[in-house]
Amino acid sequence: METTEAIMTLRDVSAGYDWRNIVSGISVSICADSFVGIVGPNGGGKTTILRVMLGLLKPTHGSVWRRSGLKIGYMPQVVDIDHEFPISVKDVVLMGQMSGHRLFVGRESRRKAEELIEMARLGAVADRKIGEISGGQRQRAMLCRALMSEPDLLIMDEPATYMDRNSETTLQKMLPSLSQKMAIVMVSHDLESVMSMAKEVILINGTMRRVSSKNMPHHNPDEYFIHSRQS
Amino acid sequence: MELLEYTFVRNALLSMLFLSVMSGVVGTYIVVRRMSFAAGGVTHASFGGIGLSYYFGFNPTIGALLFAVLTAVSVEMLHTKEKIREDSAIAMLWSLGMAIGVIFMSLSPGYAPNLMGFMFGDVLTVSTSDIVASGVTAAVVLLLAVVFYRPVMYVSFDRMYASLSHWPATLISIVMAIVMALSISLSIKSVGIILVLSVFTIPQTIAGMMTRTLWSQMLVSGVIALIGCVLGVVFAFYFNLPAGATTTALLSVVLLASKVTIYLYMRR
Repeated sequence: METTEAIMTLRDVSAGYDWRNIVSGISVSICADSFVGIVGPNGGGKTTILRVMLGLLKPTHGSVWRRSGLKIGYMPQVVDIDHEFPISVKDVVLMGQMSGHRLFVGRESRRKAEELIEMARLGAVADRKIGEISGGQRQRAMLCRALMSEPDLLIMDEPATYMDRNSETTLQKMLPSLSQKMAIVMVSHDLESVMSMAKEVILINGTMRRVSSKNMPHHNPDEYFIHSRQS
Repeated sequence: MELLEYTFVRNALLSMLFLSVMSGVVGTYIVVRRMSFAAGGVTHASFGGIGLSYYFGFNPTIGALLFAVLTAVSVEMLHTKEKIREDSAIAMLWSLGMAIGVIFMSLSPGYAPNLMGFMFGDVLTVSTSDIVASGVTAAVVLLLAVVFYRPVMYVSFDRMYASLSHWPATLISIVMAIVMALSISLSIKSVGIILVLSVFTIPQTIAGMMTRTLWSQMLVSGVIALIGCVLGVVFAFYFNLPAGATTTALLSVVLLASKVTIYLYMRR
């Protein structure tokens, strides 16, 4: 499918927590133009794979290869952030630029943050506290933060969970143009939304099956999810 | 103004000024990172150092400082490196510090004359060396807050993302834990082990109701702490009350009044 070289490869990876593997036998190759959707039920291991990709979790078996100097932008689930923290939307977005050891924010970074904030239609709430905006707006702020460093790979964890229809439409409009510039890995439990955007879909339920989103109608994902756990 | 004629009152006010700077910056860090329990642990564990100092005969402030720093760093390391639950690590070190303090106090010959001073504090008895130590620490705290404002804010807000962005999140947390321990232990002489936590949490909670950014919460809580402490000293002087307890009571009244005002405003 991909025409470009791989930027990240997971080979026969097993990973989990507290001596118990949540996923096993995972082999995925992400290329510069990939748009991969990872779909599965709760507890199926989606977030575990994502943490392995981010380097936050070491595999118990197999290997992970990342291209040297690979820049990864990460959009976490909004439930993972502290909503009461006194930080403005603009400062959250600027956090994406604070990679390395920069202590201060430059004029160029501020300009880039403002552009992204406008693109994500957050201009009106840019100076508000992160806890004072809606869940959908928070998701978009997290996306802007992930995009600030101009990543080669954008990893999104359940990006549409708290989005209303407007926010989801905004995201769906943004993603195709973003996928022209960077590889995207999107984790979701919503098969329909992933199928509408991703080029390839990985079904995860402890083990994995990689399919093309075009072929998805011929597969029955529910059946896979049920049987894969039993096998 | 007649109050300012007394050297001990001038010393007390200077001490309160430095305490407010530490309270504004470090207290806000404690509150926004939900570390009030950790701060309580550090404060009480420092009693172990005071007990040791009485037994071996060295300056109690140095003993408190050593134990406070050791506890703060140990909590951070046990939590991040050894994966021990933070609240469990705090509870263990809190009791251990107190136990060491009680054991060495009981082993010390004679009566510990300044013990009550360390438990409840007395800002009117701070020495020049205490003021110099507080002043230097307050200046360092202020400098750190200006230079490392964003790294500290980002590590506090989202530690995982900060680590992904190659920030030394653990190092920043340990440095801040040491700064917290220094600030708390140097404030014990003024407000005491029992009451120091109020100066590092109540003004910040009040400021949190009226500010949106970390720096403004630091600034406003520092001002509230200063006003509360100065009024506490004035009240204590005129009504012959203990200064630390009066300050805590005043700050609590302001917190309650702020809550009621916001409630009434929202109902309007």
